[in-house]
Amino acid sequence: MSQSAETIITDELRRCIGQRGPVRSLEILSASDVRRYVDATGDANPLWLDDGFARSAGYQGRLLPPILVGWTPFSLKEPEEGKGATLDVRRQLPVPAAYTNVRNAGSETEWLKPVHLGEPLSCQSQIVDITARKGKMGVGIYVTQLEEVRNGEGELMFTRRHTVALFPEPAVRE
Amino acid sequence: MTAANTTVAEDKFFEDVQPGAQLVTREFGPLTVIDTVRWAGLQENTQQLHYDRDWVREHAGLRTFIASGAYRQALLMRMLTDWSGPRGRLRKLGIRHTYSTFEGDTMRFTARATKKSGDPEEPWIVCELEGANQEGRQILTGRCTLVLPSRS
Repeated sequence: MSQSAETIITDELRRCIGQRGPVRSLEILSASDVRRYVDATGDANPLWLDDGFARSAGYQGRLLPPILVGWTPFSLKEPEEGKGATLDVRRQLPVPAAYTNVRNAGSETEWLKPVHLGEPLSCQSQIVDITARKGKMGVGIYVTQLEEVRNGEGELMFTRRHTVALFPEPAVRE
Repeated sequence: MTAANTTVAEDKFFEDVQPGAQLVTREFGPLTVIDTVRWAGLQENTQQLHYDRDWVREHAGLRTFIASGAYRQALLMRMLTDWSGPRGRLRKLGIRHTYSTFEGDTMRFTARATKKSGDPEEPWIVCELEGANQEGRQILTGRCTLVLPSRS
């Protein structure tokens, strides 16, 4: 297969720019999710763990660590084969089948308000850009997705523009 | 490497931060399979790229597994929220990943203030962020906005 940065973005793929996924209620994260986050990162900030401390800092109770706001475990993004369709609009894109090597290229995130543990949230994603360029790992497809997270009152709490780079396996080079 | 050793700083006040000042530097690692597996468990991300040396060599052409970008971002955010203290708040964060973190690598993050609000009623500062490995090679760049409490 030989693809160029000029030809790999097909009309069908280009038409997906602007496509929105459904508004989805996110799983409400629990104290045990936060504990596993603390185990993984060492981030035992009392703002995430101690209601009294968080109240003394002016919040209503303990907060979600910022990276867990809008958090969707991979099991919900990409169900196992035969166990339902993916809900992630990016994973539905008609990219070439060989493009299975996914890399995190970067993100722009804004937290408009603090989110408290147990607060119900919903999320909607939109494909906002698809580009291609050639690099050391071959021709990459760069997909940018905008995620908007709202609380139960519909207030916008968080936005993230996230870009992933898709490469053909096994063309990765160090 | 990521034992719960957070020491949350006391409040940092908007008036005390000046553009140009290096605010904080922190090093994490070396990266182990325990770190990446714990993160994979949290994220429910079973991508072998992040823990399976044999698979990575065969299928990705890399010498060993690499940290996920979200994991590196979480450590960077930990540094920022530890530094900014309980009443500080991370408002915006932009990250561009420029090189992978491999098993055994360290991650050294720095934040330097570049700009601040002229209005104490809107007490934000902007910082340039950089990450490098043990060889000094850049692994990420970024920028953040922190909102800090004001003395006024």
